[in-house]
Amino acid sequence: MFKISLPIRYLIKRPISYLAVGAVALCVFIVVVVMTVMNGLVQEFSDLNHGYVGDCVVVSDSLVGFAHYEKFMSELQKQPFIAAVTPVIKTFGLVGSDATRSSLGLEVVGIVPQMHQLVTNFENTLYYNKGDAKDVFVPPYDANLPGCVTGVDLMYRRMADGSYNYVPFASKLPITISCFALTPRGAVVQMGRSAAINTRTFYFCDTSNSGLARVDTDSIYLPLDAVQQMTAMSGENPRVSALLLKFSAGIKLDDGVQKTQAMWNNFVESEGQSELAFLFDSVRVQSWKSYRREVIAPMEKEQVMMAIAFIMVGFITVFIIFVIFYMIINQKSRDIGVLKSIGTSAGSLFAMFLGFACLIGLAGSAIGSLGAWALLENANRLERLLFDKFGWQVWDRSIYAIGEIPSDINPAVLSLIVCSAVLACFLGATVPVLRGVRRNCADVLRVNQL
Amino acid sequence: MTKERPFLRCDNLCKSYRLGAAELHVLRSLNFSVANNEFVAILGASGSGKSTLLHIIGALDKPDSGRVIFDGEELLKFSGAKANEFRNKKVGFVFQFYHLLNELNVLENIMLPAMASSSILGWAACRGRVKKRAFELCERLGLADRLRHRPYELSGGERQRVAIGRALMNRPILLLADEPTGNLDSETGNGILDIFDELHRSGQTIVMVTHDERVAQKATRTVRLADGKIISEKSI
Repeated sequence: MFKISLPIRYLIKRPISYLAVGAVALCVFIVVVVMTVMNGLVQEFSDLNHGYVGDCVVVSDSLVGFAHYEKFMSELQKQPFIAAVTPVIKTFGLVGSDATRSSLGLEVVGIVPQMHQLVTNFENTLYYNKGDAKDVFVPPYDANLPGCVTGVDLMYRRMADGSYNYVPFASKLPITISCFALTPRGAVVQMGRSAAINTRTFYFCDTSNSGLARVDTDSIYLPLDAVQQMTAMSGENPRVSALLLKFSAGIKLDDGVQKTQAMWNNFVESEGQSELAFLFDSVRVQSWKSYRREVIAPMEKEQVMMAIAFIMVGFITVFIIFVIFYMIINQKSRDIGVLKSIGTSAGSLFAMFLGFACLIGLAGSAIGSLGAWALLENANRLERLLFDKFGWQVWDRSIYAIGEIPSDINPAVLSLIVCSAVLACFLGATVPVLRGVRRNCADVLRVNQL
Repeated sequence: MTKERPFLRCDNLCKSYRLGAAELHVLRSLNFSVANNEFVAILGASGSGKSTLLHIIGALDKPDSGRVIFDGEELLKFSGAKANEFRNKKVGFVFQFYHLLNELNVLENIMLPAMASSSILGWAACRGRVKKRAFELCERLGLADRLRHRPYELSGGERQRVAIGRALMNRPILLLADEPTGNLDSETGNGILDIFDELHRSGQTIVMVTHDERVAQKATRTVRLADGKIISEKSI
């Protein structure tokens, strides 16, 4: 019976136990806070990327894109695993503004808004047309003018608190966009002796805040047909750079990608004799994860590095518990001797002290988790307060495209951390406890009589 | 030298300790026996081997050679579990420095041997009976008003009475006391000796180690040790 009550008394009555609980609590606190923030940031970043491209892309590596996309789209749209498909052109362009008298090299993205919003999260990234992108290219001041949407960082300044200095439409803002026209073979279309550069003026309609810094500073969205004309991708066999796909609910990503790949292979085979079939060679079918690998991978790598750092924290916890238990067992060697003298087995004592270690692990984990929860719950409030009072931020929002500090503790991660902490206590205590209970009872009592 | 058939007999006990390069022989072929209902005092100077002998009798330590026969069974052939049961049921220890657990109160310290031998379910079944026995012991030892006190809140004499209560909890056949008055003033020590006397009169077999001649006078037989050997025995 004392195997339960005595560890509880040791925990409550012994100041040295508080040290052990404090050490575990501190480690759990740090790990929970950093893992929550780090995992939250990676998850948020992944979600933004997912929202930006949809589930799957059929994309050409070449600037000239690929043809017959409409036929493939109609085949895809018949499939039950496909919820929506949208064509996209991505090309380079020079963007100039009368207001700034500057010229920037940007990524020009041609989209069909009403289709694009069915696959991506585009409609929710808009400011003036938030929630419905159908009329996003219709300037509010003149519906007959061609409209464009800019990345938010091209148009507005990001404030220190992460917000933008949006202003109501004052007057029409023309933006001049120039694109190179390329033949299907990749040569620049010539007009006489000069390269054909198509320049058109569009009028600012809205901004897109995707939350992806590079996209929001480098992209300008135009109607797909306009970009096709400017890049010479229209005509008898119109071309696009990519098809973005959204899978039906319940379709696993890998399964959907595999099915799309199989369809694409069949399509290429059936269209193999067409004039522009050679363009299919540069087309890949990819999941959103592998398509955005380049930008997600560094963050995931940081996450792995962070996990490795926390495994080291785990080792430190084991060592701290080892040292503290070494001291506790030395302090309690007399109790061990007494309990042995009344017939308690070494196994029972071992179990009792390991129970004590687990109790320390659980108490420390509970305190650490509660502390972490309290901090994370108030992290954004606290950061705002520090910013208001001292101008200090964890991340400078004028530089980093981070909104709120992630504060949702993942129950699975928390359980893993708590189990690891208890295991660390268990491991840290094992050697000192084993050493303590194996000591000769008479020697222990004799030493304690000195 | 016992008149009755001994229920505890030690034959040719040898025990030595290593102190650096030197070997210290604490017991040298020692023969010793105790009969039922005896009160034996083992006398000797410091280092004469009396505490070591007590530890061997109580299965807390093992000799290098020799035999210990307790109630017809050879102690040194006991398995670990049987030795634990022996310490729990057959003998009770009283130490010079009481060795009480500070985290437990008086009642819990006394009940400790009964707790040690019970599983959680077993404890639930026998808790009432054990508590009754502990209350009786507290009453008998004059601790009835100190039940909820912690050891550090008690005087030396009270602590030793708690230790005696703990030793008697499981009604042991043999009570082993290692200098039970060695840490007490003479008046308090006399009170403890009176308890031993009373226990002996009620039929308890006691083996007590002491270096104090006056304390040994309470016993029915004294055994004097020197250099690990019995040099004299005297029945009082």
